[in-house]
Amino acid sequence: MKRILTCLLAAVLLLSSLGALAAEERVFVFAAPFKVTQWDPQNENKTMMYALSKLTYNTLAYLTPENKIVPELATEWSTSEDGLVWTFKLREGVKFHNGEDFNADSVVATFSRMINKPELVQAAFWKTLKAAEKVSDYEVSLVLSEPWGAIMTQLCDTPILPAKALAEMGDAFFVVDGGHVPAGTGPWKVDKWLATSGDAEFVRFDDFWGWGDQKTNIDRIVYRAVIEDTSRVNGLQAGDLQMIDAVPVEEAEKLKTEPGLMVQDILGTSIIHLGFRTKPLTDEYRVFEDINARLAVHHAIDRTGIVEFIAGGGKPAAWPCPDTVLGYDAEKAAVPEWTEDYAMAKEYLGKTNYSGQTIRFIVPTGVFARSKEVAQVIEDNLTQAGFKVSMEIMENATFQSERASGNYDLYLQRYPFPGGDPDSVVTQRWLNDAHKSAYVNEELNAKILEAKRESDPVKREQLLKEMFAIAWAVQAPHMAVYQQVTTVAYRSDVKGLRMRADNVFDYSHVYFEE
Amino acid sequence: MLKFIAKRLWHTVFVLIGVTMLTFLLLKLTSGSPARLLLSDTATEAQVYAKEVEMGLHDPLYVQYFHYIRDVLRGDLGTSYFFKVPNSRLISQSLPATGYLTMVAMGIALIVSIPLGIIAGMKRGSVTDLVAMFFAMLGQSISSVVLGLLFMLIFAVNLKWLPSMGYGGLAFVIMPATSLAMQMAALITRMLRSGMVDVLQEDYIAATYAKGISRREIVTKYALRNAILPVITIIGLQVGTFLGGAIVTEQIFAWPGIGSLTVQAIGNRDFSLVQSILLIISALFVGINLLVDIIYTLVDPRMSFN
Repeated sequence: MKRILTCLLAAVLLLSSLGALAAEERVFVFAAPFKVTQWDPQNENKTMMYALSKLTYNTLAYLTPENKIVPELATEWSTSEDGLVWTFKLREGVKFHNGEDFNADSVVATFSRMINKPELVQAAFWKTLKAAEKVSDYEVSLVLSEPWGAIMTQLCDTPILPAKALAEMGDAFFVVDGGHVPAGTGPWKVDKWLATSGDAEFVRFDDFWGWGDQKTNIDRIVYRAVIEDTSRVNGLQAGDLQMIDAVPVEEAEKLKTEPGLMVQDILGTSIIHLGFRTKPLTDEYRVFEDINARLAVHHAIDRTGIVEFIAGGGKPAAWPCPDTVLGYDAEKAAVPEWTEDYAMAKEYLGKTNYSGQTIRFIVPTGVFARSKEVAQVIEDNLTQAGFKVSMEIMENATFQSERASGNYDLYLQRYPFPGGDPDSVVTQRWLNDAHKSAYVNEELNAKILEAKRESDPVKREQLLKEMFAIAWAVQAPHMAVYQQVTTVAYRSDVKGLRMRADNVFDYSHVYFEE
Repeated sequence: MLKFIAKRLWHTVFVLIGVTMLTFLLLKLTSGSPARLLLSDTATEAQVYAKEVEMGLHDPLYVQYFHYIRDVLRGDLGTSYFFKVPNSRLISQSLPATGYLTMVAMGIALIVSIPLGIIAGMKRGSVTDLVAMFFAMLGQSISSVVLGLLFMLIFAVNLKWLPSMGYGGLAFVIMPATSLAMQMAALITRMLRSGMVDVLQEDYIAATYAKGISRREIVTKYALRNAILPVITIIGLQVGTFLGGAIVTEQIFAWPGIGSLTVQAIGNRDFSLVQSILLIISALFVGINLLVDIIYTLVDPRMSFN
């Protein structure tokens, strides 16, 4: 009997100590208004998915918050004289979470998938990639159809996938189901995903090749999709969340006074802009075909007022791209060739054939903070300048269809410049007229292509400045309104965050300060 | 009774066919293409078209509807365009969360409102009645959004007694359920009070008093059984509505229920998921109403299954 009691006591003690150990698991919980709906990083272009990918995957090169490109899975790289072949030496001794070795096959499989499946969202960035070729087990070449100056920036957001698992499972590799999770080489393994809430959990991968002496003291990272702004703030204040993204403007000031919390405004790479329809769909008159009408809008919009009183921060645009993007011309932007002046706007409008036709102004909901309010100010500004505006606020799905069909005169939208490089924006949105603006400017097109093909960073930056100068002078196809600010808030003992200006935050090395 | 149930189930088939047709047509009338949302916003028209063809969106409407119904009859609710997992899995993940929230909310509403309604009805014009009616007015006036955020501020942010959000045990459900229950409780209190007031003035109640039956027995056995009939109908309807998704409450408390899933699916134009959710919700709604009818008949013997 005594023995049984002793055993029972020992079991109770063991269980309670196990419980205590379990309770000691250190968990970092962060939240953003975005639901994780799927796990294929090549089929995603949402900023938060880029960030979550950085937990699980690695890329050949890494873009630091200071915009420096440093080695990650590639240790060194070189390019051929004609800029068409990029060769990468790969890091040895790296393993995926599923035990598979990382080598040239992984890189070939990753890039070949995008060549073979052009419908993948990320494949759109890699249109100039002709082939991925294995040179040796730890050396690989990417062959391009034409030189591409932004290739290294793009590589920093292209996660490397395991070749064998991908070959065996195909697209099922990316489905979190029945114990299977997609495997990367990154510091965190996917552990759980609740599709309906959009939440995800990651556990530390102790065999991560890159921990060195910087191994985090956090065991688990929990990502919570919290759509409601106030709930995120309350969650942070209640201590249930350690970090929140997209802090609403009205709550930021309050949080700044809270002890133990850090609030940070990040002037990012996103531009809120107006898009013009410059050619008629039929014979119907389209006012924005005339540069004077666009200049009238340019002078009518109260960019400073929007930033100061409506958007809750940011920077009035004085250049087509933000100051955090390659091609920003600080000198020219410092002396903006415009003023917010209705008289000037009316003067420009007077030079057009505009005779009071209704301008269809479409605005999507839920794409950026305070979009409705900003649109209302713009509507008012344009009305004051003499335009007759019919503003329609619509769901994003409807907006996308309307824009794609070209059924608008003006729209308000946001885009980021991923990695601080304008390549994807200008080649996919301006050059190819993806937004049906119908705007064609051969001088601008030639400069975009010239900049795209230039591999020398200094020469490329100059070309990009010249390209942006052309776009700024004609205010087409898009007109920059303001540079968006993003506010994040976190507990002050949370350290190790790597915050890129394009809002792709790297949480992989987060730790709690003791 | 079995005949009654069979007849109602037979009617249900037609209701569900109507629901599927209506949902299908409404979704087709909605502008916005899921293919455009699935692809990058820089995708070409040719890519969008190819994706739409792959998704079967260019088939004639009757063909699309026929395929959908055929799959449903085979027990296949389809696969979500966006989540890329079976719709049945998504629904079976979110429905228990909503069911749990609904049951707790309903429990809270009944525990509060039934005694309050009875007492207020019995003591008409008294301080208790005034307090109960004040509570009912308050409950009906405050939206569950405000109440939810208020609870969160008090019990999670300031007192730190309860978790501010998320899905879990009683600690997690108490705030969303209470904020959801308040309007319901207020409504039931008011209905029950007025029912009790009316019934207590009936001649047969006076007769029971004359017979010397105890007040407690009169209230529970004779008055309440009549007064509670409309309340049962309301409960049935409300449970159905809650199951359809307490969208805002789920959103505030990051509760992974069917309501937020529906909103997301509509936003993404995830047609097959929306159709599946609405089909399941409609079936549940009809089922609950059938249950209410059965309970109604059991409570009130004057009602007949015929």
